[in-house]
Amino acid sequence: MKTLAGADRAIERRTQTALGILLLLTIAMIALGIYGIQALNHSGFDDAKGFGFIRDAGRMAGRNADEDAALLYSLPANAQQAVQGAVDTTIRALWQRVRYAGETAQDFARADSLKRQGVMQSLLRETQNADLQRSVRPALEALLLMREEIAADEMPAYEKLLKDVAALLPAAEAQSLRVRLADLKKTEAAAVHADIRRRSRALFEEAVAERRLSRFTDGGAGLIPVAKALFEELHAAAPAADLSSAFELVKQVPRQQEAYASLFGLPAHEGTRKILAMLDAKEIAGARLVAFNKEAYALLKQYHPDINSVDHLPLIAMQAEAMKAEFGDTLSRQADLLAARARNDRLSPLLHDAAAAALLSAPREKRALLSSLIAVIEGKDVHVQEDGLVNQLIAQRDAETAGSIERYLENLQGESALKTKLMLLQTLYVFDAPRLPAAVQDVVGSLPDAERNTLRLDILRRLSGAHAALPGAVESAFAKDGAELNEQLFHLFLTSRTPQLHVFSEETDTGLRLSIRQNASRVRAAQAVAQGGGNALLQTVNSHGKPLTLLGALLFINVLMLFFLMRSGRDWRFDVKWLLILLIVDFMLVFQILPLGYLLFKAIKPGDTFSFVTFSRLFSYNMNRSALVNTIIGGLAAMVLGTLIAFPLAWMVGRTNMYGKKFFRHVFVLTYMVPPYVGAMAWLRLLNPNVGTINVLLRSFFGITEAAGPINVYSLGGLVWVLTTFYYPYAFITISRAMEKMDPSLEEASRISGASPFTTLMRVTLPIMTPSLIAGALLVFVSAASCYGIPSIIGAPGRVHTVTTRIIEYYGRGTQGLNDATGLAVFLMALAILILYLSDFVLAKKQYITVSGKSTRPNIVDLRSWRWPLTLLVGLFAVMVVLVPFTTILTTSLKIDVGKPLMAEGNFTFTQWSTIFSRSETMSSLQNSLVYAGVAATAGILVAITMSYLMQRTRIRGRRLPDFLITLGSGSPSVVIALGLIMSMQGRFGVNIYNTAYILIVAYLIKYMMMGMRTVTSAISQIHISLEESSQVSGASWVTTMRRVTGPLIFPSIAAGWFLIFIPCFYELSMTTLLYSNTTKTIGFQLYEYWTYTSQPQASALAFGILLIVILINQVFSRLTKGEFTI
Amino acid sequence: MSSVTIRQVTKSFGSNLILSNFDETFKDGEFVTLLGPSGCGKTTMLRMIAGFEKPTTGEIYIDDTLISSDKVFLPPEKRGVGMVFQSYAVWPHMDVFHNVAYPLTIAKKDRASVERKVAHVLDIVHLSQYAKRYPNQLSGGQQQRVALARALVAEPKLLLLDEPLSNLDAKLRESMRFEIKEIQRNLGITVVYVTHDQTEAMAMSDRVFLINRGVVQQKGSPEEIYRQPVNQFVADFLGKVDFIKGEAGGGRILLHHTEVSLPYAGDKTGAVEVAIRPENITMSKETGDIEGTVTAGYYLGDAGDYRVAVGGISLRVITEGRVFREFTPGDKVFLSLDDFIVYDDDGSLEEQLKINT
Repeated sequence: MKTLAGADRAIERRTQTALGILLLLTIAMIALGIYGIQALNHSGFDDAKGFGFIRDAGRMAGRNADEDAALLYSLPANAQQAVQGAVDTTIRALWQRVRYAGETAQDFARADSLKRQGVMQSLLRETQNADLQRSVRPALEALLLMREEIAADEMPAYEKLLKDVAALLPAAEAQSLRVRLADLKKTEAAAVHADIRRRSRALFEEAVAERRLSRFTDGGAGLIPVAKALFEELHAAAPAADLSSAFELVKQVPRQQEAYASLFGLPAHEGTRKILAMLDAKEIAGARLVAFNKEAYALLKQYHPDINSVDHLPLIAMQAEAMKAEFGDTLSRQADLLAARARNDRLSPLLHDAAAAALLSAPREKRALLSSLIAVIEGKDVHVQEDGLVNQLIAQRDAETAGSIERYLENLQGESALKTKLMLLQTLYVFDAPRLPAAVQDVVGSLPDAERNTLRLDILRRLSGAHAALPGAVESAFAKDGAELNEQLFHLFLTSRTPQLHVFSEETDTGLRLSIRQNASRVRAAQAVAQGGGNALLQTVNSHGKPLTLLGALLFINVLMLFFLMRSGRDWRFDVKWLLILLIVDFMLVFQILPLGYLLFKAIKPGDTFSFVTFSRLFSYNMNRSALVNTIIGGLAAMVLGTLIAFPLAWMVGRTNMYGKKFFRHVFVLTYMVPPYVGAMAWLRLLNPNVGTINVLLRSFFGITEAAGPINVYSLGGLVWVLTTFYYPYAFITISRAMEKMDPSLEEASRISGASPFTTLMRVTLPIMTPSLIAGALLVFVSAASCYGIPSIIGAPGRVHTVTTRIIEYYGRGTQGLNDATGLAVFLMALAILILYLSDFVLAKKQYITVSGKSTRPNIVDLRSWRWPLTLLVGLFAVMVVLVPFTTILTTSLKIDVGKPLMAEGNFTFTQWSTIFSRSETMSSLQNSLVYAGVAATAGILVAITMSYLMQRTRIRGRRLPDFLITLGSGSPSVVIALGLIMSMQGRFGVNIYNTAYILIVAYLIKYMMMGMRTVTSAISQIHISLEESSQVSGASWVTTMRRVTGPLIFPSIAAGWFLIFIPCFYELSMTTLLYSNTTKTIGFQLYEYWTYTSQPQASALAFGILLIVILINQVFSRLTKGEFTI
Repeated sequence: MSSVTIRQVTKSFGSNLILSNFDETFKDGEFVTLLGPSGCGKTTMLRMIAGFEKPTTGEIYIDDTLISSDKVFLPPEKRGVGMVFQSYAVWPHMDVFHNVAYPLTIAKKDRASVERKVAHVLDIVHLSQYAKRYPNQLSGGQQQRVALARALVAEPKLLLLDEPLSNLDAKLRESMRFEIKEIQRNLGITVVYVTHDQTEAMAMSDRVFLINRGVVQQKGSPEEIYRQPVNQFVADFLGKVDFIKGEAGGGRILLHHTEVSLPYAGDKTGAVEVAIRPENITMSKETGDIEGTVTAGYYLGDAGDYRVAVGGISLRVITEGRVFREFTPGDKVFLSLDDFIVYDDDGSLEEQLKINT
C-alpha cells in the first residue's frame, strides 16, 4: 500500500509539473502575441491586413521621400483591393437604384467584380442616358465619401474634417465663390443639369415606387383611367405637331422601345390611339404609369396654364384619389393636399394644421424653423411658397418621403435656385443629418465641373463654421484601425485624385500630400516592424500577433481546464476523451462565446468608454421602441395563439377517436420543416389588402366596393397570424410528446373518481401538462421573437418592424449602425437567455411527466356525435394553414400576372419555373446551400455523436460543459449569432473568415448542432447499456459492438439528426442575410432577393422547388431508416 | 356491500379474442381475485367493470343496476366504484390531501365533510401525517396507500384493484397485502382484485377466479383450487408440480420410464397424467414406496429443494429446511407420496401450459 501511494504521488508530481510547463508555454505564447500586437499598434495599425498594407507602403516610402505620397497613392496590392472593393460597392449602390431593369440582373450577378463596371456602363448605355452616367456616378461616389463620416456619433470628427478643408480656403477664394454663385444664376447649365438630374431622380423614384407598387397593387391598375383621361386631354389640348413630345412619355417604358420609335412616324391621332391601347393592355404599368401620369400632367400644364381651373379639377381629384389608393398612408398627405387643391379649397388651413401638428411633435431645435414656416403660411405669399412648404412639411412629418424635398429642388430654377438649395441643405442638416450626403450629392451633382469644387467647399464651410488645419484629417485617418484605414486612405486618395471629384483645390491637395508625407516617418517605422530586423521569428510574431494571442489564450484555458479536471479526479489520471471535449469547447469558445461576449462588450462600450449611451439612444428612437413592442407583442400573441391552437390539436390527434389522426399529425409536423419565409410569401399573396386572394373573395362575397381590405396582412395582426401558423407546430410537437408520455391511468383515476372527461381534461390532464405546455409556449415565443424571415417579408412593407429587422437594417448603416444593432442584439439575447433559463432550468425541475414503465395505450376519448364536426374543423384548419398557402405558392409560380387569376386568358405559364431554374445564380446558390448545409450537418452530427456518447455512456468529468455551450448556442437568436460573428471574425481577434463560406457553416453549426444532438442523445439513452454489455460479454470488441449493435440501433436517429441539422441550414435566411458574400449566396437568400427585387412568380417557383426538395429529402430519409425516422 | 353480476361478457379487440363468455357473480362483501398470467384478460375484465372498456357482447350489473350492455353504457364516473391502479396514478400536481379529496370535491361535498372523510381515510391507510406532502416526496408504498385512500374516500360499494402491489418490493408487498385485506374486512366492501401473483391471490381472497386465455379455468376458495385443480393448467399455475405420464388400470398407475406403480382408487383408465406436488412427497433414507437417487439439492432456508431420479424420470421433492444436511447428491432415498392428482392424458398438457400472450 505504501509503495502504491508513493507511485501515485510520483504520478501526481509528474503530471503537475507537465501541466505547469504547458501553462508557462501558453503564457509565453500570449506574451509573444501581445508583443506582436503592440508592435503593430505602435505602427498605427492593428490587424494583419493593415499591416501588409503599411509594409508595402513603407517599402515604397523608403525609396524616394519626394514621391512618398504619390507612391502611397499608387495603390499597392492591398490598397488596390480596397479600391476595387469600394468601386464594387459604388456600382452595387448604383445598381440598386436602377435595378428595376430586372432583366439584366442576371448578367450583373454573373460577372465578377472586375467586370461589373463594364456591365454597369453597358447598362447605362442601354437606358440611353449617357448623362446619367456622368452625373450619378460621381454623385454616388461623393455619397460614399461622406457616408462613413456622417453617422451621428462621428459627427464631431466629420465636422472637424469639414473645418479642416474649409480652413485651407483663402479669403479671396471665398469671395470668388460668392461671385461664381452669382454667375451661376445666369447660366443655363443649372437648368440642363437639373433636367438630367430629374431624369435620374425619376429613375430612382420609379425603381422605389416599382418595388412598392409590385408589392401592393395590381401594377397600379387604378391609375389607368386617369392616364387615359390625361392623355386624351393632352391630345385635345396640344397642337398636333407638338404631340411628338407627348410620345416621349412612352420612353418611360424601357420595354416599349420599338413602340416608342414607331410612334414618331405616326400621325398624331394614331399615335394617341396606340398609346391608349398600350394603357388598356397594361403595357404601361406600375411606377412607369405613375411617372407617365406625372409627365402627362406636366405637359398638359404647359398647354393649359389654367389646369387648376374648374374644367380639370376632376382630373386632379382622380389623380389624387388614385395616388392615395395606390400608395396608402405614405403619400396620403400629398394626395390630401392635391385633392384639396382640386376641390379648390383654401390650401393654407391644411398647411397650417400640418405645420402646427409637426411643431407639436418636433424636437426643440426644429421648432424655430417650423414656427417660421407657419408664419410664412399665415403670411401673404403662400402660393409662391406653396410647393416648397408642402414638401418640407411632408419631409418633416414623414422621414421616408424626404424625397419630396428633392423633387422640390428640381422645380426650382433660375434666380433663387442655388440660394434656396443651400438654404435647404442647411435645413436638412438641422432636420436630419444622415440625409445630408444625398442632398449634397444632388446639389453638387447638378453643377458643372468647374463650379463643383467651390460650391462644395462653400457648403462645407456653411455647415461647419469654424476652421482648423487639414492634417487633422489625415491624423484621424491614421487613428483608425486597419480596415477603416484602408478605406479612409482610399477616400483621401479619391478626393484628391479623381478628376470628376475635384473637391479640394490645388492648394488643399498639396496640404493633404504634405500631411501624408509628414506621416512617412511613421510609415517607415511600420516598415521596420514589418521586416522585424530580418528576424524570421520576430517577423512572424509581428505579423501574426493576434492569432498567436488567441491560440495562446485558448491553450491556456485548455491547460487550466485539464488541471481542474485532473485534480477533481484525485488520481491525476489523464483521459484521452478530454481532448475531444476540449476540442469542442474550444470551437464553441472561439465561435460562440467570444462573439457573444464581444457583442455585449461593444454594446456597453461603444466608443472609448463604458456607457449605456447605445441603449439610451436606441430606446429614445420611436421606431426602435415600436420594434421592441412589436417583437414582444408579436412573440406573445403568437405564443398564446399558437399554444391555444396546438393544445386542442395535440389532444385531438393524440387522445380522441377523431378521423385521420395520423394524417393530421404528419401534416402539422410538415409545417415544422418549411422555411418560414415561404409561408410568409404565401400569406402575403393571400392577404394583400388590394389583390390578396382572400381579400378579393371576401370583397366579392360581402359586396364590399372598396379597393382594399378588409384584411391587411401588412400589420402587426398579419405578422402575428403568419408567425402563429408557422410556429404553432413547435408547441404541437412538444405537447404531443408530453401527452404520449403521460400515464393514462392518471386520467382514468380521475374518471373513476367521478369526474367527467371534460373535468378530467381541465383538472388533471391540463395541470399535469402545464410545464410542457409552458415549455412549448416559450419555445414558440422565443422562435417568433427572434424570427427574421417572416417580419422581413410581412413587416417591412407595412412598417411593422421587429428587433430582428431593425438589427439587420442597422447593420447596413456603418459604424453607428453596427453599434445600434449591437444594442438591439443584446436585448434579443437577454430575452433568449431568460427563456432558455426558464425552460431548461426552472421548468425542467417542475416536469411531472416521466416515461411510464409500461407502454399502455392512451385513453381514447370517444367524441361521439362530435367526431365528424371536430374532424372537419381540424381538416379545415389544416387546409387553411397548410394546403392553401402552399397551393398559393404553386399557383403564383404558374402565373404571368400575379394580379390575375391563374386560369385567366394567357396567364398560365411554366416559364417562371424554367426561367428561375435556368439561371446560373439560382443553380450556384442551390449548390452552395447543399454544400454548406451538408458540411454543417456532417460536422454537427459528428460532434453530436461524440457528445451523446460521452454524456450517456461515460462518467467522464467535464462532459456537461460542451452540452451547456451547445444548448446556449442553439438558444441564441440567429441574428445575434450572425452579428457577433461579423463583429469578431473580421480579423479583430486573429481569425478572419468574414465573407467566406466558413463563417456561414460555423454559424449554422452553432445554431443547429443541438437539433442533431438531442436526437442522438435520446436514441442512445434508449438503448439500455446491457445491450452493449451483452455484446461485449459475447466476446465482441468495442469496435465490433459499435458496428454490430449500437450502430444499427442508433443509425435511424443519426440519420434523423443529420437531417434535422441539414434542413434548417439548407434554407436558412436570418444569418445568411448578414453573413453572405457575392460568392457565398445561399438558396434562401437568393429566394429572398428574387421575392423582394425581381419577380414574385419566379420566387414562388423557387420557393415551391425548395419545398419539394425538403419533402423529397424527408422521404428519402424516411425510406432509408425504414420509417423509424421521425422528428 | 354490493354485488357484481357479469352475464355472458365477451371482449375482443379486432379479431383478437381477449375474454370469452365470462359469466359470474361476485357476491356482496366478497374479496374476489382475478388471477392469471399476463394477457389472460383479467385486467380487461376489471376495466370493463370500471367502464374503461366496453364489452363486445354481454351485460354487467352492479347490484341490480345494468351498467353495461349492448344498449347501455354507463361511463366510469357514473358507476360509483373505487379503483386502484398498478402505477398508483397519484396526481403529481396535487398534495396527498387533494389527491384523496378529489372524488369528494368532484361530488361537490361540503368542505367540513370532505375534511372529515379525508382525515378518516388517511387514518385508515396510516398517512395522516403526510397530508401536505406531494407525491414526489413519498415512497412507492406511501403513494400506493394514497391511491388506496383516494379509491376508498367516497365510500364506494365496490373497490377494484389492478395489480396494486406489483410495483412494490417484496417485503412491502407482503405487509400491504394484509393491510388491504384488513381494510376490506373492516369496511365490508366488495373487492375485485386483479393479480398475476398466486400467493397474493391465495392470501387475500375469498374466491379466486383463475383465468387463462380469456376463459375462467377454475373458481373457488384458495384452498379448493389449490387442492383440487380441475386441470393441469390450474395445477401448474398454483404452486409447484411435476407432471408424470403413466398408465392407469387395475387399481394402480404405472409411471412411464420407471418401475413404480402407485395405488389408485379413481376411475380413470388408460393413459393418464399424474400431478405430484413436491411438498406432498415424504423423503426418507430408510423407508418408502419408491426408490430413487438424489441428483441435486438446494438449500432454501425454510426448505430443502431436491431433484430425485426415479428410473428414467426426475421428481422434485421439498423437505423441511432443517433436515437438509441428511441428503446429499448420490444418496439412495425412499419416497412416499402423500397425495397426487390424476388427469386423463389427452395430450393437451403442452398446449395448456402455453401462456397466451
